Amino acid sequence: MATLELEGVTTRYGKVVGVEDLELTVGDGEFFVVLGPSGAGKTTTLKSVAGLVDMDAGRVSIGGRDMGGVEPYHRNVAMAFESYALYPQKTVFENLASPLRSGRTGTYDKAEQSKRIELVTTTLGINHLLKRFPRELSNGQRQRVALGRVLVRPADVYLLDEPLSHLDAKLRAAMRAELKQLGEDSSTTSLYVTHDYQEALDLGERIAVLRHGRLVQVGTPEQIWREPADTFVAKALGQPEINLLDGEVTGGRIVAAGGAVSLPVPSGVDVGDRVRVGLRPRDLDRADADPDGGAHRAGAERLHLRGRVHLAERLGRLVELSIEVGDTEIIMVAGSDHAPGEGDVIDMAIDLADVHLFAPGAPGEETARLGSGRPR
Amino acid sequence: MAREMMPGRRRFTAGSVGADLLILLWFVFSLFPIVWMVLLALKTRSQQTSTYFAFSPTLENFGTVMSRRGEDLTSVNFSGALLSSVLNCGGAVLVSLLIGIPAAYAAGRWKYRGSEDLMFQMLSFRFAPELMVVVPLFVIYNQTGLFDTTYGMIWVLQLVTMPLVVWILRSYFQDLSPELEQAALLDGYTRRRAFVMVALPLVRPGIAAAALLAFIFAWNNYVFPLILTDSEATTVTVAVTKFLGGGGQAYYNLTAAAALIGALPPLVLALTIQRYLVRGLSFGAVKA
Amino acid sequence: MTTAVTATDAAPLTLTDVRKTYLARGREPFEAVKGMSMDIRPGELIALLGPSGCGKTTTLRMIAGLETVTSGAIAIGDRQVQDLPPGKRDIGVGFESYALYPPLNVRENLAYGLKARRVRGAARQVDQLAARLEMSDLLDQRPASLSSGQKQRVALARALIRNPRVLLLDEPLSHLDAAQRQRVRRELKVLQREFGYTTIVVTHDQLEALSLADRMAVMNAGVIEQFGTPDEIYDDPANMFVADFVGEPKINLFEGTAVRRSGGTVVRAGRDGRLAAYAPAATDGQAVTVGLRPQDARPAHDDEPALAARVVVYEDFMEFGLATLEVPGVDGRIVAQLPHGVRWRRGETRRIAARPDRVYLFDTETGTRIR
Repeated sequence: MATLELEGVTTRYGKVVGVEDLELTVGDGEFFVVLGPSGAGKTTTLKSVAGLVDMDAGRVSIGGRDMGGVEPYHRNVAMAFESYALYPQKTVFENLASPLRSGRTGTYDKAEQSKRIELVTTTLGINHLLKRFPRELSNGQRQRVALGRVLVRPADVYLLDEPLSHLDAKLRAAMRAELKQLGEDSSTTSLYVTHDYQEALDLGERIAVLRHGRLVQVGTPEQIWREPADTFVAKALGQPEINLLDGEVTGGRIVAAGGAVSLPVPSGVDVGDRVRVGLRPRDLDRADADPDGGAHRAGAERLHLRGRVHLAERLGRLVELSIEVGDTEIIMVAGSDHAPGEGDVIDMAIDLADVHLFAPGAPGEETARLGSGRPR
Repeated sequence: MAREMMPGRRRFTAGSVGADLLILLWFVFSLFPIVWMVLLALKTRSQQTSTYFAFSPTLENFGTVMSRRGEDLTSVNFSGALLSSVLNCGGAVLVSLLIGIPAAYAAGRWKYRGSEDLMFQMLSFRFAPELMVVVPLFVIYNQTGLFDTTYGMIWVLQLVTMPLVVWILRSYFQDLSPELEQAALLDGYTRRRAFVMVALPLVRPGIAAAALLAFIFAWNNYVFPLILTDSEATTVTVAVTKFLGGGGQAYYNLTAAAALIGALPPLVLALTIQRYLVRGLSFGAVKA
Repeated sequence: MTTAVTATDAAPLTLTDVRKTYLARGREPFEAVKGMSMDIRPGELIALLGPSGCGKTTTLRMIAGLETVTSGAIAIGDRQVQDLPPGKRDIGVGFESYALYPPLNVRENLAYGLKARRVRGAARQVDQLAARLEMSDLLDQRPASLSSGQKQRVALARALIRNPRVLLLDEPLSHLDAAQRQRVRRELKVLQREFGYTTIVVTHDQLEALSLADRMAVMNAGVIEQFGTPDEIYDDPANMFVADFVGEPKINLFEGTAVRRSGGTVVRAGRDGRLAAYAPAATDGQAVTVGLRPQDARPAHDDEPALAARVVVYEDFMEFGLATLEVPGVDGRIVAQLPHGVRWRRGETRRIAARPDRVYLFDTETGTRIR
């Protein structure tokens, strides 16, 4: 149990930046998620905490103690590697016993070792595999052994590098629920790295979003979701991606999609003469047919759009609609019951509070969020 | 997923038959000297220059070579040379492993400016002609009393074997994910323990291959023992040639028998751990 | 948009009892495809969906002519093609691994097939197609410098360049990351519509099949388990395999007993759980396997039959929530996907129900749907 602080951590590999000037504070017992695409510096962050890479600058402290010059084996952190890093010549039992036998994580006699291993393997559903070698396991089983090697012993900080990435969809969902439970029960400070925004929203008490080795935003899932710091964060969360429309500010209104999208400039938001309008596909409702879409948000001020369905793609219980709105295309997600067909003209609506406004920018350029469409 | 597009059957065409014949010819050409040597080793001295294949084979030569009789006849102590070959080469390999394994680990794990150049520098010792260094060594050895001693031979032969061991093992260590040792560090083990506990057992096949190759290279070395030994620490390769004597004294049949005996130890070793050898010979150039 | 290079004559594709048996010396003959029959209409986009080893790729390769047909007939239009070599079948194939020639640039890659056939005006054809696919700027690059999304488009272009009557695509999106996959998937669908080729896509990704296909065949162990529109496959699965393979999060399957009432069917599950189901064919007291999609489970009204369950985990994904539940007497856990705003807590007991026609009953032995 300990707090974890990163101050100005910079780690480069030659000229390639791993992380740059990273500032993070993880509270005691907090389950903290680092979210980012591959190459964002997530693993580097973990390894910097563990002392497995040489930092070029900055400070890592665990429990208030500066870790500069402290060897990895004296840091009392446990890490699950994305590559599993299981000892190939050792059985699952021996792999799990390894941290208990080193003498640096506490002293455990044979019985205590077996008891701890029994407990953790039962939780992870791998207690029938103890005599196997890593090569005799499926990827999913290996990943659980790697997780077990972390959970089997007490540590100040758990570092978890994409522990669900190699599992198939069903097992991943089950393990994610399992981790959620473990995270809620455990009081060990955890730093969890993932590229999957759903994992991040689900598991994280707080989330840090990384891009190109730099911190973009830190916040609770709610904050990250409702108020993404910029277009990068907005795009990183949510599938399908958020719709971004280039709009112009004229006569006190924001106009986009060739006039098909028009809303008043909200008070309290400082817009110039151009702005980007962000609409999440799932925030858009059918204003015409959705039985409770309009009703349950009665009273909320809404932006209304009309468009023609260009493409309807079934996604399980949902349908993804590509809709021609004015001179642009907007993606929305609707329920599959009574879904419109291709060629239909439909009316949509979205709460002004769910309309995100971003600073203008060139295509491909990420710009900061200015505020929502709801007047303050 | 690799899929076979053309699961073809082999056809016999004029071209393919011609290619087979060429291969056969090359095979005969390359194997013939060995066949000839085996035949020669089975002949008596009077038959040694005859080119007839018909003769009454005898194993007597092998006995002669290994016993005092051979020494009386030619003043070559072949069994002694065999023993010092084993000592020299075994010693050189041992030294190379003791120093080479940690060196290879360091070279495989830590990158710094010029580390690649350094490694290539090391390998280039293998390409340099030994004759270049052997003359100054001869002078030094004479002055320091290392001439014709086992220690001296071990010292000079490890020049041959060390680069080989380091080069081969480095590629094995590079193939190992460093995350294995990192995991051991976080389990609470020191760097040394992580090396011994995790990395070392996993490169055991590499160590076997490197040791064997080093042994064979040391065993086959001719120049160093020729110049740096006389009788005490002389090796098989040098001893074999002494059966040739000079002028009319040449015992071709004994030479052949001695050469066969001398070739036996590395051959047996190679066959026993052939599996590792192939991987070792590729020098890790092809990574799995 | 320049000169249209569209499919002049999209052809129907008919498979009649197509079989593939692999004979290996010293081993049991292996039946990879056990009598496939499909009528594919001109211009239709068909997905072959199934787990690895189900025979979907073998089927594709037999249509392409890369694999011999053990028995049965394949017809494009009214031409029997099963005995023709691949080059004579008028079929374009896009491989999973792209199969681009690395030393040639994109233009040469595209022209390769045409030149081999000594087609005149190959260069013009390449330019037209590239313009049509909006990839003219890629023509002078080599495959190595392309992104995987771009490679995918080149591979597609190469399959299209000969203006085939049927287009076959093997796992066309498998090398792309999640965001790219969505974009390319839409692109592919729009292109297919515009070009109008009769197209077969092989995939193991159920979401890809559902979203792309006009109709899809769910395959398992060499047979078609169900052939229908995505709506039919998802909303009206023919058997347990289809229900289990299609849909994410996966369908909940648990044991129950059918009880016939005057008003309809109710299934009992666990100690005292009850769910209304629409299954006139079920007999009273029949042991069944109940299939309930997480997306179809919802908080129950007070006056309807329901499953009372203890919340083990509640996961909030902002757009929706997932509750993992334990129903007393039911083996395994049940997952329910709840709309955003419904926040359940761990340890609470909640009641769930579903629309009766979304509670599927299967014969526990055979897996067949009881409707």
